[in-house]
Parts: sequence; structure tokens; C-alpha cells
Amino acid sequence: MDKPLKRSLVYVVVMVAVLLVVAGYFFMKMDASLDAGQQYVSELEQKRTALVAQSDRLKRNVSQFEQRVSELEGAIARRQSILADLQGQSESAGQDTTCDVSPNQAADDGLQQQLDSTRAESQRCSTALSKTEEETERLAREIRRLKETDAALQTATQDLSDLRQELAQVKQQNARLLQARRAQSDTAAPTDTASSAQLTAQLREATQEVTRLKARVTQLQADNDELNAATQTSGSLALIEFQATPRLCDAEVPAGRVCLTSIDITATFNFSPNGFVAMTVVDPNGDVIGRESIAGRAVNQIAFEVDEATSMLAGEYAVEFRINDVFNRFRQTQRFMVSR
Amino acid sequence: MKQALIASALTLCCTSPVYADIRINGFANFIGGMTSSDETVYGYDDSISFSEESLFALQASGDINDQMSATVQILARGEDDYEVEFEWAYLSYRVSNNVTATAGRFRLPLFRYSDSLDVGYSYHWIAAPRNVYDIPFNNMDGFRLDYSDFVGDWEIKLGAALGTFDNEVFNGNVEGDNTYMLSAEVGYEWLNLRGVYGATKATFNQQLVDATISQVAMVAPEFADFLAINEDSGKFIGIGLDIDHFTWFIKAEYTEVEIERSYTPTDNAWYVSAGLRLGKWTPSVTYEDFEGDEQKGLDELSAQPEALQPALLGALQGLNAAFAQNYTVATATLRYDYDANIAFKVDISRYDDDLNDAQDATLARFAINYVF
Repeated sequence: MDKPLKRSLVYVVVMVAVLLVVAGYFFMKMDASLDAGQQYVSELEQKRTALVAQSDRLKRNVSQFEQRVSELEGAIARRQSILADLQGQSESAGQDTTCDVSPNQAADDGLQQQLDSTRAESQRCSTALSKTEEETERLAREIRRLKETDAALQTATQDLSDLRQELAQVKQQNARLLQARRAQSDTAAPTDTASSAQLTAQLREATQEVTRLKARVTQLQADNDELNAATQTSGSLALIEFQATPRLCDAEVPAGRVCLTSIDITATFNFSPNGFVAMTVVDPNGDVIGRESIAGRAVNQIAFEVDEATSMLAGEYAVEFRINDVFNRFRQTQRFMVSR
Repeated sequence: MKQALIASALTLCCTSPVYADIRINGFANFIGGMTSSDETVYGYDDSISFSEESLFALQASGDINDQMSATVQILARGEDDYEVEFEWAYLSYRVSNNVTATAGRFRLPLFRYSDSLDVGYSYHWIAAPRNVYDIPFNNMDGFRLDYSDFVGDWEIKLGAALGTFDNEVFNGNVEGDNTYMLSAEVGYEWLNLRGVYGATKATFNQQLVDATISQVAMVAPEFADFLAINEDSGKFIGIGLDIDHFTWFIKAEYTEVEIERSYTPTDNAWYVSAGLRLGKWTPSVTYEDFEGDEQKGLDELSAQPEALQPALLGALQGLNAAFAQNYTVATATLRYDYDANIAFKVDISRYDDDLNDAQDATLARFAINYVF
């Protein structure tokens, strides 16, 4: 092999080795500087994941709570029926003064057993309700604790505190109801009907409260998403606010469907994206019902028009945002509910 | 005028009390390479070089108001001794939900990767295929309109641009006046098709060429007028295909550049590239073909007096030969995504010169691409 060629090869090998060392040092330094930012992002991601999981648990608990309330309503209905029967039997026993002592005694014993059974069932229902409320309160506390990690969550924390107070009021009302129930159980059977009605009213209120709490949980979840997006690293494009407003019409539609004229969407980014934003709307079945491509800016408003002649599915819809900017490639899906 | 435009763009974006937020992005390509022989390919020879294709750039963008933004990109190329230049400087105005207007110096959407041509991180090659992408009018000063919308499931993008360009090429200077360009692109999930048509009034000046044409003009002014590229009509046609299923992809583009009344041959160039995405690894192969050795001007020459034809033929052949190119390049590339914004690449290219086999060479390169 020629000397010049050998020298060239040696030169190349040495240069490549030197380059590898320089590149390695360069990337170790770069890695070190990126680590801190990545760790912060990772922590935020973990918090976000925890919050999403927490929200899911909350939803499940609220669902369970609703189920328990439904069961309680069923139990109340049964008790009302039993009490009505008992009342009927008591009246019958009072009118028939010539009947034998033994049957009256037997009827009284049966009455007593049924009253005892009613009391026990009422106690169990009240305990279950209390546990559900305690669980809801515990979850609310956990949400507040997570929220306190960010100063910007003070408003949400205050709302949670309000929720706790309201829950405490519900508990107090339930306690009063229990006391009243116990007191009424010691008196004559006819008064149980009024007590059951009161209990039913209380449960109805509790159901309304659950609905309100559920809405509040949804709102808190949205706040979480917004705050998580707002705390991303400054260099990344992020969707910091998303709002979807379905415009409903009055036409009669089959069950499970809605009459929809349009879906108004507002998407706010932390800065104006370069180029166009491609948006795709997907219905609960996963079918694409609309696509739009809009020149990106910080606040983007778009209305997806829907053919009124065709009813749309009720349920969870999704909007996918896609931006092919070389510095800020973006792809994210937001979900929202459409219902009557 | 350009400096004034840049200054006004910066002033507007930086003095607004409400929209003072300026975003800064950047990218860098650190590329080294050498050939297997003394022959030069893309500026590389048998000594390793890091300056031929390396570059560093910063891009700043700011919102002037809700409808308008300003963008400036400064870029330092190794081949220019890292001298900083304003690559882009433009204002964008959001006309409607679907239309954007741009004024200033901007990148023409001639190719699939025009917007990110200098951002090596954005594609799988070390450098976009030179036979297609290496043209003197990638950037233009003027106006541009972009339209984007969906028609059914197809995303439609239309573009129109009007302006001028002025660049150095072949040790000379090329200017394009009254340049316009129309582009259309349709995309459906994994498929993207695009077509471009552009036209200009081109003027090319280079010392040796001008001297030769001046000598011809003394004896055959009409023939010299034919040879000279002086506000002559030029056209550009481009089509592209991109099939990308993410785990695998095929990309292809074809371009034709012609200045009809001149000595310069019509350039026909195309490439096909295919690759796989295997986690962090992206192996790919690319084949490029460039044909630009057409002998032009023979009909015009035959119209000249016979006594002059031998001398004029010599001048014509000399000019033709100086700009004739006919070659193919086969490249194998391996990309490794080290991180979300850093990629390492190596490639090896076989350059076959169909006009002169002695210029055949093998080029090996490596690259570090960074974007932030």
C-alpha cells in the first residue's frame, strides 16, 4: 500500500476517533443540561397521569355513589310498601276488638319484627351513604392535595373546600335524618310514612348533589388539563384551553341520538403555531364527521356544521389537532360530550 | 429594501407592548465526509471535511397581533466560512381561516421538504437529494399566498408566489425577475401528491461566459443573443409522491428546469427513496438521476453563415460542456434518533458520472442533526 494512502487512512482513523471523543463530550454536556428540563417535564407528566387516574377514580366513585343512591331509593320504596302494609294491618287490628288475643299477639310480633327489620335496613343504608360520602370527601381531599403542588391551583382548592363544606352539610342533614328516623321508629307506625317521604326527599337532594359534584369533578379535570398545559416547557407548543359547544336543535330524534346543528370549537395555544392546523372531528363510533384546515393562531375558533336532517349520536366526541411545523410538531386529541 | 424590510419586521415584532413574546428555535447540522479518491463530490475530496454541508441557524418568530406574525431566520453555512446570512425574513398575515399571505424573503414550496430543507433533523437523509433540491431559487423575495382546506378526506394545499431571486451559482450570478410559482398538494393519511409550476425571466452573468458571448457577438450578434441568458424565459416543473405508512416509506420527486433560448441544457432530475422505521433506527436507500447534457443551439447555429459555423460551434460546445452534467447517485443511509431532538446519521454514496468515468467516486459522510 502506498505511503500517502496509509497516511490518509491513519489520518482518517485518528480524526474519526477525535471526533467521537468530541461528540461524546458534547452530548454528555448536552445530556446534563437537558436532564433537568426533562426531569421537570417527566414530573409534570407523572402528575398529569396521576390526576387523570384520580379523575377516573372519582368518576367511578361518583358512579358507585349514584348506584348506591339508586339502591337506597329502592330500599325506601320497599320500606314504604312495608310500612303501608303495617299501617293497614294496625288499622285492621284496632277495628277488630272481638278477635282472639293470640292472633293479635302474633300480628304484633310480626309488626315488631318488620319494624326492627326496617330500622336495621335504614341503618345499613345510612351507613352506606355515610361511607360513600366519606369516600367522596377523601377523594376530594386527594384532589386538593395534588392541586396544592401548584400555586395556580388555589382557586380550584377553594372550590374543593366549598365542596367539602357542602358535603359536611349533606352529612349533617343525613345525621339529622337518622336521628329523626330513630325517633320516629319508636313511635307508632303511621308516622313512618312521613319519615320515609322525608328520607326520599333527602335522597333526592343527595342525588342532585351527586350530579353537581360530578359536574364539578369534570370542571376540575378541565382545570387540571389547562394547568398542566400551561406549565409545559416554554419551547413546546401546547393547547392550553379547549372548549367545544354543541349547538342543539329541537327536532325529534330517536333515543341515543341528538339533533345537532353545529359544534363550535375554541382552541387556544400557548403561542401561534406556524402553518396550518388540521382538525378532525370523530363521533362516538369513531367515524370522521368533519375536517378543517385553518391558518394557525393563538386563539382558533371554528364551527363544524352538521346536516340538521341527520341526527347525530349522543356520547363522547373527539377532536384531533395536527400541526406539521418542523420545530413544533403537534398531535393531540381532545374529547367532549354531546347529549340532550 | 431587504434590510429595511427586515428592520421593520423586527421593529414591529419587538416593540408591541401586548405581543412581545418572541419564540426562538434553532437547528444545526454538523456533517463530515470524504471521498474514496481524488475526485470531488459535493465539495468533498479525499481529505475529511466538516465545512461543506455543516450549518447552524436560529429562527425567531413573534406575533405582531392576532392576525400577523414576523419570522426571521439567520443561518451560517460552513461552505461560506460560517458567515451569517438572513435566510428568511418575512411577515405573515392570516387573511382568513384558510388563507395566509406572506411578504418578504421566504422559502418557495417547490419540493416536499422545502420548508425544512436546511433542517437535517426533519428528514432521513444527511442532505436532501442534491440533484433535485440544489437549485438557485429556493428562496425568493416577494409575496406568497397559501390556501389549505379539506375536500372530503383529502387535505388540499394550494400556493402561489410572485417575486424575484438573486443568487450565486457556478461562480456567477443568476437573477430571476417576474418570477411566479403555483403549487398544489393533496394528502390523504399516508399518501401525499404534489405538483409545482414556476416561471421566471432569468439573467445569468459569469465572467468567462460573458467574455465568450461578447466575442461571439462581434461576429454573430443574433447567435450571441440566443446564447446569452438575459431576461430569458425559464420554467420549473416539479411533481412529487410520498407514501408514508410510518413503519415504511417511499418518496419520489421529479423536476425539470429549462431556459429555452440559451446554451444551458434542460435539466431533468429525479430520485426515489425508500426506508424503514425500526424504533430509533431508520435505514434507507436512495437513487438519484440527473440528466443535463442536452446539446442546444444547433438549429440556431445552422442559420449562421457557413464560414462562421466552425468557430461558433466551438464556442457553443465549450459553453455546453461547461454546464453539462449527467450522473447517478446511489446512497445507503442509516439514521439513529438519539433523542427527541438529536439524530445521528451515516451514509455512503456511489457517484457515477456518465460523462466522465474518471470522476466516479464513493462518498462517506456522517452527521449530527440538532433542533430546538
